[in-house]
Amino acid sequence: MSSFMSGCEAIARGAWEGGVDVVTSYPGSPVTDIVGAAKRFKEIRCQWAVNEKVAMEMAAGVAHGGGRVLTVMKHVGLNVAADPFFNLAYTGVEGGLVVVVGDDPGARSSQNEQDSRLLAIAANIPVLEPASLQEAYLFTKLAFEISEAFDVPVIVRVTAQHCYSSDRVVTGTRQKKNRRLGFAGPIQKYLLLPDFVVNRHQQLVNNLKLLASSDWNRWLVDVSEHPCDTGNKFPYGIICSGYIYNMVCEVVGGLNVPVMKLGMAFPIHDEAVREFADCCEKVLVLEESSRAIEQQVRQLGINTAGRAHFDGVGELQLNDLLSDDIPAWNQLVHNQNKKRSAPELFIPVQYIEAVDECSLTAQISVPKRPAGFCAGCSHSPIFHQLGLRKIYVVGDIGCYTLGATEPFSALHANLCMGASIGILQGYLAIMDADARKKAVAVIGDSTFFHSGIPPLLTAINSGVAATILILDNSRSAMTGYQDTYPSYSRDEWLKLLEGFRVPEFAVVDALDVAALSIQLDTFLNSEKLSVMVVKGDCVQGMPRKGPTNYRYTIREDMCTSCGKCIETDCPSIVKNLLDGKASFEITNECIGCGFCSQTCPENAIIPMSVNFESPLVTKTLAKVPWHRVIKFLRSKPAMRGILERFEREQY
Amino acid sequence: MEMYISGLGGLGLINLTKKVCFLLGQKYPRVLSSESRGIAQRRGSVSACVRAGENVFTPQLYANQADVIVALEALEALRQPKLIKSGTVCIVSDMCVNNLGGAQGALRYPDFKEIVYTISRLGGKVLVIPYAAMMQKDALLKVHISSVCLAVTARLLGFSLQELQTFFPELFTDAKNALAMHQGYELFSFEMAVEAERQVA
Repeated sequence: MSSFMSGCEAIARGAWEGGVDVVTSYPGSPVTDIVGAAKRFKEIRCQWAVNEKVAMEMAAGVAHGGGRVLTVMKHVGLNVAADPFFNLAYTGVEGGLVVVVGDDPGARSSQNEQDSRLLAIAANIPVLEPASLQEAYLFTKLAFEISEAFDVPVIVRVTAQHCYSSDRVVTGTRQKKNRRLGFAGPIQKYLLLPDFVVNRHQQLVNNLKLLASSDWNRWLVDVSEHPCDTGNKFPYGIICSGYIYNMVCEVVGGLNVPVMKLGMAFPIHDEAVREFADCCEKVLVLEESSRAIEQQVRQLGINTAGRAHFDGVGELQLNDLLSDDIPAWNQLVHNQNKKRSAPELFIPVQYIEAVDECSLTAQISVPKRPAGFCAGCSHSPIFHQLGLRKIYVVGDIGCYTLGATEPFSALHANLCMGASIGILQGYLAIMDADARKKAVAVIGDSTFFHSGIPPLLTAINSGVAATILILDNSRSAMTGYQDTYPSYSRDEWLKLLEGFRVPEFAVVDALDVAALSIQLDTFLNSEKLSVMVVKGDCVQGMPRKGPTNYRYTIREDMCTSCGKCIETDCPSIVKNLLDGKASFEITNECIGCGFCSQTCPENAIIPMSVNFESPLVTKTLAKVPWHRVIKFLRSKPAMRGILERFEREQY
Repeated sequence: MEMYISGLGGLGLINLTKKVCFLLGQKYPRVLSSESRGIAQRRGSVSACVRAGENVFTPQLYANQADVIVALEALEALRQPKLIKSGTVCIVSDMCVNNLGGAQGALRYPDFKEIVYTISRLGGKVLVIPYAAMMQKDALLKVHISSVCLAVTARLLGFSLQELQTFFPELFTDAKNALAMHQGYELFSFEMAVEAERQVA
């Protein structure tokens, strides 16, 4: 059977066919969708963890108990999980443990471009590197077998190119295997006491040696043109792994250039690589992000051709394939663009001719479109307030990083998950007492539970006076609204912070600008550690494409075109220019959050439901704080239904 | 066949790409696609590359290689101008979303005529989708542009409306979406192209 799949779907399918019992993960681009795809299989139990370390530890429990488990994380997530990851190599597994790591060359949506293969080499954990989606599916399936056969976790390393691609994948059926489940033993294997550790390390090294020369590894080596068949040495040969293999295939075309694809990037099959190198005058190792394979090849005593242009920075481009040592290869790479010829396409279109050249100026340039908060995002008001105060904001990882963009410009640094609170403490440790009024730490709720609690406890323990804002939208919003932790109500937050013994704390409605402003000023002027939970809802959880509840509108007769509403950066507000005069309108992207209405000095922004023809009536009603009224009414289940029906029928 | 699809987050580009791949899969032995994502869904540019044929190994497009460009938003047609070669068919929606330099567009958004002119100068053949008027006339939402583009592309590739209804029945259950599909399919007619030309001129 074959069907079109994305890379994430192919991996989930491979895991299912490989007999996986449990999938654990913390969401992160580009691999988040694997869990979504795995959830479609009823035999798999999928569990979001509060962070990658917990996901890895849950996976360890499953694998030690004899079950098969897939744990999924992005490359920086593997850093978070590094502690159990390194030690799992020592304990080994009973059931297969496969770690799918999504690397992000080009940093499309990450803090760095690190190569997870290097971390795996440091941990002595094997790495499979698929070239195509067919291999992503197949390698995931086989990884469980390798993991069990060699008593070690196995990494399947993919990149954004795999995950966000689609291709036809030939699939099979789910493996049925009766596994013996139970608590793991003996303690000499599963208890990492110093007395046992060296033996376990030795066992790991032995297992890796066996794997390096195994039939499994040999089977994963693919040589396109077998050098030994020709008798004479080839002038050069290519060794590659992963996605780059596809680019190499296109460059090589049908020419007689030997190409060796290594399905296992670590450990490489020594014998196969030596055989290949013996039949080539020069060997060029092509890979993305780092020289992980090239270093292994050179350790075998094989001289590799230079890649002066390659520095591992950014997504792989054709130029990264060049080698000054092999001019013939460079010529092939340069010819690549000319080589491709598209099949004939018949398109019977009546084309529009080019418009009059004289009436137009030179070629236009296309500016970038910076990402911004969604319409109705509960993060916007607090960044609006922080921006007005020109405070230095140490941020964290999440949607709220967009607070750095115009017009807020209210986020100035971040580092990694949960780092904001620790960094702020560092700043305050070296600056004068006044600094605490000029800087805050901002962290999302998902990030707070991921790794923000330890730095908060440190702050409480040290007695530092600082202001910390926890932006709670009840989900991991950046990655697509996953529930990685329980959602906490206002009262539960208060109890939690009281239990932590935070000296001062408050929970404030994220869309109530006045309340935010007052509380922020109070905490900034306090001499204690203050935690403000800014509680809102992520718009991704709302039916944005359905009927819009409580949409707002701008009364033209009341609007003075002051432009204050524009400072909310809401994409639903549109500015029109007519005869040099600006006017504003709210489009149907509005979800009725009411933020803009609170910034209008003329009260010209009102819910559509109270927009009457009579200016007098409307002006009187416009003074009512409707955002609070609507919020209050919507909190009453009986009223909510009636109001939503009213809204739906009216608009 | 080498295709570049561009647009903005939230307009349905990912779904459009999947469906275009399905259609191409009916005609070509191998179809590969690759999408740019990340935080693009929050108002940013989104794009996808699709390649179909026999000896296709990667979905990556290089300079002067696009046979077809589908732009769900006008200016996004020029997001990768290097891809346009002489004869590239550019299906361009005239819907202009000015969020350049911020939600309310701090930077100047070029005139639609400038966009068409630039594509033409690069060698592209422009087919304009008069979506701004369609939105007004039929109360379509921004997101329906992906259905219109799918129907236009499908017709370019030689599929009938009946085939589209068979392949994607879910697109015809919602009245607005079905209307967008029908409108898009009819848009391809000679008369509509002439009308679009008149509007641009």
